[in-house]
Amino acid sequence: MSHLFEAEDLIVNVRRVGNAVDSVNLSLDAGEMVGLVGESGCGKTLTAYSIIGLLPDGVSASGRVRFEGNEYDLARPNQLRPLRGGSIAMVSQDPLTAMNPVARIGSQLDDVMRRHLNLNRRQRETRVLDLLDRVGIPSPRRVARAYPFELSGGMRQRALIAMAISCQPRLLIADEPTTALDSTVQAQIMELLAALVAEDGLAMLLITHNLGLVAQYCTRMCVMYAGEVVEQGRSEAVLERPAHPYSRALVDCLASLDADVARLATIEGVVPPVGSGLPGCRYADRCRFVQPGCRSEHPTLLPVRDGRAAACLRVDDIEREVDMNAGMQA
Amino acid sequence: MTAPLLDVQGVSKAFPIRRGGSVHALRNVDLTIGEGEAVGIIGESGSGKSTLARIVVGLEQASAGRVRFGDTYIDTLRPAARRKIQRNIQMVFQDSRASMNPRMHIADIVAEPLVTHRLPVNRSIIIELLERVGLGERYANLFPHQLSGGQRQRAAIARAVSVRPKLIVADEPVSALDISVQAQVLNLLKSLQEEFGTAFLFVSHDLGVVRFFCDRVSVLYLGETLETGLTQPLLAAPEHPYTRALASSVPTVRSAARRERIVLHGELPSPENPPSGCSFHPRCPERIGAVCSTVDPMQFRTRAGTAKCHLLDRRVIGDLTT
Repeated sequence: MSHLFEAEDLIVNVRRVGNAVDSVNLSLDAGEMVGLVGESGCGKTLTAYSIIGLLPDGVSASGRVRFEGNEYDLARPNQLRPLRGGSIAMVSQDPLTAMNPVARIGSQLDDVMRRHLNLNRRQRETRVLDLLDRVGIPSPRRVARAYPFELSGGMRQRALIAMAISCQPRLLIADEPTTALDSTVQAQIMELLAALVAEDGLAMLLITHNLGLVAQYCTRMCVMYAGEVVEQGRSEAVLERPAHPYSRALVDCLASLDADVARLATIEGVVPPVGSGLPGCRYADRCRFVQPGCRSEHPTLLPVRDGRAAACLRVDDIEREVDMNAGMQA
Repeated sequence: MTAPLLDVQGVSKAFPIRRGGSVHALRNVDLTIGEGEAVGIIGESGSGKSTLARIVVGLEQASAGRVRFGDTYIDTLRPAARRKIQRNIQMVFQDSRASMNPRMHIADIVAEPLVTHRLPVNRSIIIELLERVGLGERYANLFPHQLSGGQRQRAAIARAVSVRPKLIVADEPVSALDISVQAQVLNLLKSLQEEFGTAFLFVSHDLGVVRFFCDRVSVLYLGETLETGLTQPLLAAPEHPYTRALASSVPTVRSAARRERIVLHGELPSPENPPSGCSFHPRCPERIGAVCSTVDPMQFRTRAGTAKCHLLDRRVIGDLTT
């Protein structure tokens, strides 16, 4: 079966430094929200920007993208231009920098539609109000005439989402869309995004460091570490019983609302710098399951239990050990 | 009972605004912290939690109310006397980079409070501090920008503990950090707290972090304390509808721990003219009637502590059921 969106062998190279994203494969279907998680510097945002061809100077991409039946070469970002803002749209973390500070919300929405849609002025005007209403803005007329700084953070994020969906995209890339918001407003925005996915059949890539959001909203997820996907699969399976030692450690680090602990679990050491050219597993230096072989052989993503895939040589040993411990505790 | 280390009594803070009137950032807030106790302040942006932290460390003056530290009222002290007390109240900010002079070495940054309070400073004291927070000597001669966010926050913590304060006010100390680094820094703060018996006023929007770190917690909304009490029972079974919504809005990883999600409508009203009656009533999913929009609720005892909500008033509930 072919997917709505597929990226194959995606590489992002930082000039004179090395590959910040290495051989990443991603796929999304319509009506599906997929989480891309990892800590700062793991390459999740670069992955997103390479898909829409918006990498900064000195950073280049390679790889193939198949989208709605067409194939694109990521090494030629110009090919992606017609898609951007049209069938692939983006919502960024900070709407204030994503918007033009001296243009009214309505006119910014109009700009996008004029470029991608074949509508006359009156139709576009109506559509601006419809869109603002669709994203739950209480007084669309007032907000259309407002400047970005006059809106609260939550309203601004809604307006940005309106802009993103204005040209009926099939794929929405949301890069930390709620990180700057309070948890109560975060819940509102996530409900809105989930509704767009469920009702309009949008495919959405949610880039986040918040595992809780992934657990509640994403059907599938990918965990990235040092530029590579180390584990992927159904979110529930990955988060309840992580197979890769890194995803496992990440879940254990969280300060939970329901558990009493004297100390939080941590991950010792630091992420290897981009371009360090390690032959083996990039997580080996921090891994508590490490064996000599891990440092020489590079693990690839292989299927594990529950339809997941993990890039770890010791994944079966670890699984057995965890089962044994669980058995002992029971 | 001995006097608490910090006693905030009915503190209000109004910021005048240009077009006349004022923004009420804090309204009649009470808060006590005992020796060695960690108290969390949670609430959304605009709830006044940072203003409260800034009043306690003296960066801001309260418009009304008193702040007592030990047996001294510190809100009215003259600067010289205040400075003496200040040694015992240190602060850790969210943005460690902004709180450090970019042209000073880490060693000098960590030594600043010692210099200010005319305490002995030498290289070995500083190195010992750096080692205590997991940094070590090789960081002494680096500049703030050469450190990662987590390392910088460790240096900020070393600076705060250098003068062995009795109270550390930490305003979102781990919010800017990655999950794994967050865990490291929280563990460090906790071990320092146990080692030195330092009390903490811990401002955070992350309920999980507060649950891990704090003995007690106060929930602030529009500058008012809506609920306060022991962290564990309060977060496990909040009795104020706002706390319930706040706790349910935290996305959890494990499905077993998931609560029924309460999505609040609307946003925090303007603190310029707060709603009448209960300040939460316009967004409250459990509003019971006119009483909520007209009468300011009293504080009622709860299992964890106290809460300000008409739902807890037997008389109001009685009227409704009869």
